[in-house]
Parts: sequence; structure tokens; C-alpha cells
Amino acid sequence: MDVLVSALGHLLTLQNFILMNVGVFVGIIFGAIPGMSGNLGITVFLPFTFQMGAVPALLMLCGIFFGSNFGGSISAILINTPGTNGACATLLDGFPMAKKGHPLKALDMALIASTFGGLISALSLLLFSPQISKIALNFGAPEYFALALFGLSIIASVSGDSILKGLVSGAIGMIVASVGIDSISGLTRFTFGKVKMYNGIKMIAVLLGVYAIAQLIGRVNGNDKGGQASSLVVEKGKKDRVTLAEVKSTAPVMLKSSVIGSIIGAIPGTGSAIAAYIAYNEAKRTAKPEEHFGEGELRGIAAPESANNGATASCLIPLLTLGIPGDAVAATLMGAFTMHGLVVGPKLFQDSGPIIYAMMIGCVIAQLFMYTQGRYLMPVFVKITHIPQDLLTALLMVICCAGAFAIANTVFDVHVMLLFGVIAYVMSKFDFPAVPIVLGMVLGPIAESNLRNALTMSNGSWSIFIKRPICLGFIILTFVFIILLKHSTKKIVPN
Amino acid sequence: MKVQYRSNLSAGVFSLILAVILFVLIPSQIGVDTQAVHGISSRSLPYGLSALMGVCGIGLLFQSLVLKKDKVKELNLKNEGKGVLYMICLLAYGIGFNYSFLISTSLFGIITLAFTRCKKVAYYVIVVAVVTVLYFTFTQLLHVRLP
Repeated sequence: MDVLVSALGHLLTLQNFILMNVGVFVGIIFGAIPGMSGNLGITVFLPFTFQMGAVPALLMLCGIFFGSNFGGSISAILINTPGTNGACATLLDGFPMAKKGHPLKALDMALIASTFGGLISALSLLLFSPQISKIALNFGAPEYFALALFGLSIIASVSGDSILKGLVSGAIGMIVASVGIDSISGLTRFTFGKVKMYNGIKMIAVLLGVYAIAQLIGRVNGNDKGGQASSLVVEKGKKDRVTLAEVKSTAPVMLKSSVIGSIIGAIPGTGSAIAAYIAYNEAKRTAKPEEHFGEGELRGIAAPESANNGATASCLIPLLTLGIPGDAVAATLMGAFTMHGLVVGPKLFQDSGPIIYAMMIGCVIAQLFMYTQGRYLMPVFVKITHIPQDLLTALLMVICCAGAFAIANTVFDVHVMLLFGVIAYVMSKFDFPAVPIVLGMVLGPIAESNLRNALTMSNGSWSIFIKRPICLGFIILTFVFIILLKHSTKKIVPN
Repeated sequence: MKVQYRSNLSAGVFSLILAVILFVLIPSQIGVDTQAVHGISSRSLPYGLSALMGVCGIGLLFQSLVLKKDKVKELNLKNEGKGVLYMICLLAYGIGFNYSFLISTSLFGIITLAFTRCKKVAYYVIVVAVVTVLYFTFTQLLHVRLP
């Protein structure tokens, strides 16, 4: 109790509230611009926090993190280009809803779901860190492989009319992800002797190419869906927000997805993209017959957004309790902790309890600030729909190119983005879906490396995957899902 | 001029070609893993994916030729020709980016507008202005070095 009182003393200052808001705002902007990300925002603003105390610094940086996950949904919904990895699943229903003339409603749903997911995640961090970290500790190589396999089975769900084409796209994604140095053997794969390919191909560059560039090529040559460059028409003066009844009806999906996101986020090495896809898939699987996922369904936006923000604060759980950064953002934040004299790990709560609790309570408050800012900024974001299509096309092209370069300050990523844009455009002529490429890139490396590690652990015995309960559970889930999908008539129509 | 083609048939051929290319490339691109554990080496996943692509390709061909489940699609050669030209511009831009972000991206933005047959001079000015703002934002504010 004393620790909590002391934590509130650290937290409740005007400076902290201002900096949290600044962080959230910066995060939304960074997340909304394709190619930039929350991690870049945190990296850029980290030096500015040197002069601050630990609590204000960490709150601002966490604000950037949370804001960026919501920001990614803005570009996903309005321009069919995910601003962050976690928003990949949001565009499946977000953009179709915006195309139908409801961009504000789609953004509103994304904001509500992001806030909901973020709150659940922040509360999980505050209340259940030790318990969740114990579950995360039980995840070894076999469990990671089974989780990745389960995630890859989603390919069947997002492949539209042809699972075979979806599998080919997924295979292409996995091949692309294998480029570079194999982490287990140290051998190079598909580098063609080029040193710059040793580090592999960055997912965000492929993402920009597959979603943004391919689409823009289609617009330029007049082959955009519908034959003409599409435009999002919003009737002026029309109030197009989510109603209370719609919030109530999507609440169960948001809750389930937030829990999925919080658990997956707490597992090191997973991330918000996996959480978003799994949650989307689960929402689609349990959808009612009148719900048309892939055509602008509210739950299709609520599920991935709750999950991807649900994975945010909870990815700090392994960092704070075990000293293991859960993803790239957590690794960057780990640097921030170190710079402010905080040593992450089992003794963190013992040595710096008030500061850490102040940060965790602040994470809860930051979600409310994000909701408030998003609510007032939304009419500004929707103005993107008023920009004439030809101007928007050119502007997006230049922003994506700048964003691709900003990933790692190399021209190589720009070349990768342009190349994959062309490849994705050509593939679209044969109706190959784009989503499985991303799934393959995210989950392929996790599946392969953990399969090999698991077989090493078991001396080559495949029974390890059956003997471990969590692993067996995921494998059974995978088969159940595939069988249910086969019997289901519900398919997602890719954009 | 429009050309018709069958979606599954073309996709099947594409997949098979890709599978064969991958299969042929693997020995030259991935070394022999002398420390392969329990039969799984660095080549295992790529070979597996190549086989998967091949099987899917055959499956698509089967769907199209035997089961007659296919969609006929149309390719507008005039539009696609424009697309190919744009892709050549993308290539040129990729090369030009190495030398100067400001000039190459401004030019590319202008070319993109030209391809969309935009006649408003203001838009061209806006695009160049945005590129300039981006350049100074990245270099001066975010300290990200651009070529």
C-alpha cells in the first residue's frame, strides 16, 4: 500500500500528464505514416528524455508506443496501407467500411477497440504481471512452433476463394523471410553474394510494397478496383460514429480479443501482428451468418484493434519481470530503463517499486488520453479522404519511399519496397492474396527456428509436440480450426 | 486491346515456374549444413516450400483443366502498358534515389501525377513542397540522413 501511495505521488504531476499526451500524439502521427513506426518514434525521442526523471520519460515513451498502435489503423482504414505491422488485419474490414462511405465510423471503432485493448493490457501489466510471466516462462521452442503453426493456419481463412493461392502467397512470404543468414547454422540463404542481404529483408519494406506500392501502381494505370481510382465519399455534415448499441454488441469480441492480445503480447518474440491476426480469425470463426467479414464488418475492426493494443502494455511484462524484451519496442524501452538507472528483471519491483508502479498506473491513464486525443483528431484524419485521388497517390508514393528509407537508413529497403510492389501487383493479376505473404514473413521464421530447436531438445523425437500440454493444445486448435473452416461457408474477401 | 486469360491456369503455371526456380536455386544459394540436426537443415524449409508451391501449382492446374473451375479475366493491354512504363520509372527512381532523395523523389512525384493525367499545376507544386518538407523533417528534425 505504501508503494502504491508513493507511486501515485510520482505519477500525479502536471509534467507527467503533459508528457503522456505529447507521447500519445507523437505516437499516433508516427503510427499513421506508413514506414514510420512507434519504435522509430521512441528511438528519435529517447535522447530528449535524458534530462527528465525516470517516470515522465518512461510515460512519454510508452505513450508513443500506445499511440502508434492506434495510429497504424488510421492509414489502414483510410488508404488501405497499414501504418504498423499490427494494423495489417485491421484493413481487412476497415478499408471496405471506409469505401462504403463510413470512414469515420471505422476510425471510431478502431479507437474504441484500441482503448479497450490498451486498458485490458495495462491492467494486466499492473495486476497480473507475475502470473502472466509464469505462463510465458512455460513457452519453449515446441510451444512457439505450435503457436506459429496455429498462426499460419489463418492463411486458410484469409485466402479468399482459393486456399491454394493463399498457400503459395504464404510460401512466398516464408521464402522472403528466410533470406539472409540462418540463425541456427550460420549459412547464408538467397543472398546472391550481396552483403547487404545478409541481414535479411525487412518486413515493413515488404509490407509497404505489397500494400501501398502495388495499390498505387494500380491507381496510376487506372486498374484500381472498380476500374476507376476509388474515392472515399463522406457526406458532409453526416454524423457517422459508432453508437452505444454497437459498442455493446462488439464488447464481447473486444474483451476476447484484448485477452488474446494480452496473452500473446506477454510471450517474448510474438508481437501485435500475430495477436491481431489470431483475434481477427477467432472473431470471424464465431461470426453470425449475417456478419460479413471482409466487407466492412464492425467486429472485423474491433477484434484486431483490441488485440494489437492488447499486446502493447503486456509486452512489457517479460521485460519488467524477467528482463527479457518481448519485441523490438520493448528492447528499445529496455535501453530507456537502463539510461534512467533502472535494472529490469526480477529485482526491479523490489528496488524501484514506486517508479515502476507509477509507470504501470500511468499506462492505464495513457489509454484514456489516447481516446480523448483520437476523438478530437478523427475529423482531421478523415480530411485525408477529401484529398483528390491523383494528388493523394503521388503524396503516398513519396511518403512511402521516405518511410522505407527511414527503416534502417539504407536505399536497399527502398529498392525492396519497390520490387515487392511490382511483384504484388503482378500477383494480383492472378488473384493471389497479399495477406498470406505478411503472415508467412511474420510466422515462418518463428516456426522454422523453433521446430529445429525443439527437435534438438528432444533428440529428434517428434513426440515432444504431443507430450507438452500447451503445445498439444495449439496443435489441436489448429486442426479444429481448419476442419471448422472447411465446413463453414464464411470466407474473407480480400481487398 | 484486351487479352483474356484464365486465373487459375495462369496462377498454376506461375506457381510451378516459381517452384522450379526455387528448387534449382537452392543448392547454389544455400550451403551444405554439416551440423544439420535430425535431418532438418538450412535447406529443409526452402525445399519444403518449393514442394508446396509445386503441389499448389498442380492443384490449380487440376482445378482449371480437369474440374473446369476457373475465372476468365481480362487484361487491358493499353493500361498494362502504362503500368509497365510506370514500373520502368520506378526502376529509374530506385537508381536515382542513390544520388539524391530531393531531386529523384520530386521528379518521381511529378511523374506519378503526370501518369494520372493531372493538369493542375498547384498539385505539382504541392508534391514538390511535401518532398522538400519531408527532406528537412528527416534530416534536420529526426536526424535521419537522406541521400
